[in-house]
Amino acid sequence: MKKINILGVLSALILVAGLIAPVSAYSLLFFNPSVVESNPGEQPAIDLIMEGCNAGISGYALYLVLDNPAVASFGEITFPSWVTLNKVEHINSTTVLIQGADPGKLVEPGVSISNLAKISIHALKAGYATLSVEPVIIDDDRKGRYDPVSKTASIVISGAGPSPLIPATR
Amino acid sequence: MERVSVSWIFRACLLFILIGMVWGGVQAEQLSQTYMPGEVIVRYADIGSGTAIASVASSLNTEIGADTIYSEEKLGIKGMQVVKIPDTMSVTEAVQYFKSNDYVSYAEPNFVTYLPGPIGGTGNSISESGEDTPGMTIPDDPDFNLQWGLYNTLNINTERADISAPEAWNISTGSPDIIVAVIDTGVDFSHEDLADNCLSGYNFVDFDENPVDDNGHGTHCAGIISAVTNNSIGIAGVSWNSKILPVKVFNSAGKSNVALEIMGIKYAEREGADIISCSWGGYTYSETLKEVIDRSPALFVCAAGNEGYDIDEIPHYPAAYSSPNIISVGASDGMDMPAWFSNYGVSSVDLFAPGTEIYSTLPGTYGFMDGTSMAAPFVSGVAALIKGQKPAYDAIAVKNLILSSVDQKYWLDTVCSTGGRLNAYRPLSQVLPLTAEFKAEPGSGTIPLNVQFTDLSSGNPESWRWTFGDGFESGQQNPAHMYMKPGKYSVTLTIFKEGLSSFAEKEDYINVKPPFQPVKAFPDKKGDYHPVPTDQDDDGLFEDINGNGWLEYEDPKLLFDQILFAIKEEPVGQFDFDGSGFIGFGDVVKLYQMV
Repeated sequence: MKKINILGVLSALILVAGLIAPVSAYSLLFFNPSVVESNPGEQPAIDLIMEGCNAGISGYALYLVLDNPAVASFGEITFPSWVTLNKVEHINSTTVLIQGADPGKLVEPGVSISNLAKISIHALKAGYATLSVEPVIIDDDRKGRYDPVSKTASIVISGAGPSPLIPATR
Repeated sequence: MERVSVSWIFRACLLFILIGMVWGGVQAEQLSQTYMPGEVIVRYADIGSGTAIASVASSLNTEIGADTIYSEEKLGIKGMQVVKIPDTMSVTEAVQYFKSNDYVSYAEPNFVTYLPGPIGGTGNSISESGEDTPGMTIPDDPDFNLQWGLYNTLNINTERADISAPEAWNISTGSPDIIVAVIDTGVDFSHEDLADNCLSGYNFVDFDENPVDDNGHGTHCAGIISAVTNNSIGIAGVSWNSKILPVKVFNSAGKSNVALEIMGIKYAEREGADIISCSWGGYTYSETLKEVIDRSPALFVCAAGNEGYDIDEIPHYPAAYSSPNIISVGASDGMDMPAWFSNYGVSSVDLFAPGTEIYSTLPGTYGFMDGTSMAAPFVSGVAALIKGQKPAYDAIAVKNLILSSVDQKYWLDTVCSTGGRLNAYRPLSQVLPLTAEFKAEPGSGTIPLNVQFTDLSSGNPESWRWTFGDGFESGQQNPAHMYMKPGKYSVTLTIFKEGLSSFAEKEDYINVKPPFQPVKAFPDKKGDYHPVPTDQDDDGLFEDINGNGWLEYEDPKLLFDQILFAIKEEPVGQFDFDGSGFIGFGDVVKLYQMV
């Protein structure tokens, strides 16, 4: 009897899960490169990439966080060509909200990996900073929603200024 | 009101006296003369060549001194003659003489036939017809409102007792390729309301090509069948465009005989008549007439007679012949009851048709007549409409279609085989091409929305396949379906019959709305708010996000910009454009595509 009850509860949970917005299979948000070495005054760029977006992407809203604003801050954030609707909103000194949508349906199901944004970082002074992404919503093209795992990127700013380019000697 | 009552009583008395006078006279004549004096119809067996038959016939005639009046060529039937016997021999003796010969199949007197007893021809006042009704075709003939048999506006408080002609005309008004022979007293072929539909015809009384009507009966029947219609003149015919072939075999007194009738029938066959309307008959069985009808490819529509008899007991011919190509017609009245005078018979009468106070053409004029003579032409007209739609149908097929499509009246069960009254629309609706069509009720509403689908297809499909646009299907003819999710659904119906199919699709036909919940205004970039979103197309979705009254690209952009607001603050149902069950970027994309 107890077994039946457990099975019943499990079935109900599965049913409820099914009724809630369907979630696409495993997906991953990561930065490329994952480690950035730079010098103060430079503006390295990092790509935000999504892997496992096999059901297409209709749009996304993500928070980007740089945890050490004294070392690095956000520069320009640009979007790939398929993101024809986009928005960048600076929430505070460490956080920006970025949104993108694909009304032209350019990233359709079948594309497994896609660039979401290119993030420029202002290297301010020597030190470490971590760039992380917190997805709010990422919707697919099949009336479903992704729930991706996300990885951080490490920003390493060296102490010296820009290294002078030394002409090569013969 | 009192004036009307007195008038009706007076008319009834007058009618009764008239009937008594005329009918009495006719009966007296019938009693005195049931066959043409001295005339015998002889039918020889098929003994090979025509020469052999002629030789036998000549020998037999010579032996008793009989002369040939109508040869087989004139009658149009090989091996048949009508002979005049000498005064020294009785018709009964002559019939026995011919019958005793081995080469004679049968012999019989040349029976006399009379038109059915006249019932009346009174003027009547009938109320004006109503307005045109959807699904009907109402002609512009000014006296159409007097023709209750076509469209009954007389008894507005009762069910319609007419043949549903306006509904039938919505499908077909007949074909000029169909010929209806009116074997009768002739036709006023120059009548303003008949001339255009009349063929030349023939006069077998005077044996000339002038089948003029010197009685009125045939002209009245012809007008019922196929008066020129929608010509702003006079009356409407049942079949507007079919042709009338006047065949005069009755004289001005309404008298004919079997020999003339079979000549008229054979002539009609040669002229290509599809339907032969016979508003006449008698109580004497003629083997000759039966054989001619049996061998004819035409459909014979025959009046059942006006004596109030059960013709299963007292047969009235040709209506009571068992020939498969005969339709036997009784007369009904404006209350859909058997007319008081109509013959009946649960075996010998097939159906009833309007036969009282029938307004139609008369030579040079118009007028009312009563009788099964008037009922039969209604059936002839409907047969012409069917034949026009289905030229390949033979007489039996047309007959079966008419008889299987009557308006059933339980009180007619005991007086005719079908238990019904003629309906013109129903048989036509059954011979329409297979064409899928449907409707749904209601077409829009909030979930859960229960929709009743109704098959409106023509051509009598045998099976149905519905798709409701939400993944569900049905094989019922008139299914009901419950929609559980908002959206616009396209519906299809495929019908099947005898290996054929027809398909109908209605895009975005069912509009299922989410239950209404109040929506909030979206914030703008200045920290203020746009006007409240609106539902532009009454589908329950609020596409006009910025509330400016129309859908534009600014709307999906605003939804995109404020997607987190929408997710948090707005009711899902009103903004779930992609039907995902939640608000998200899929809705932005969908709304973008909707602009």
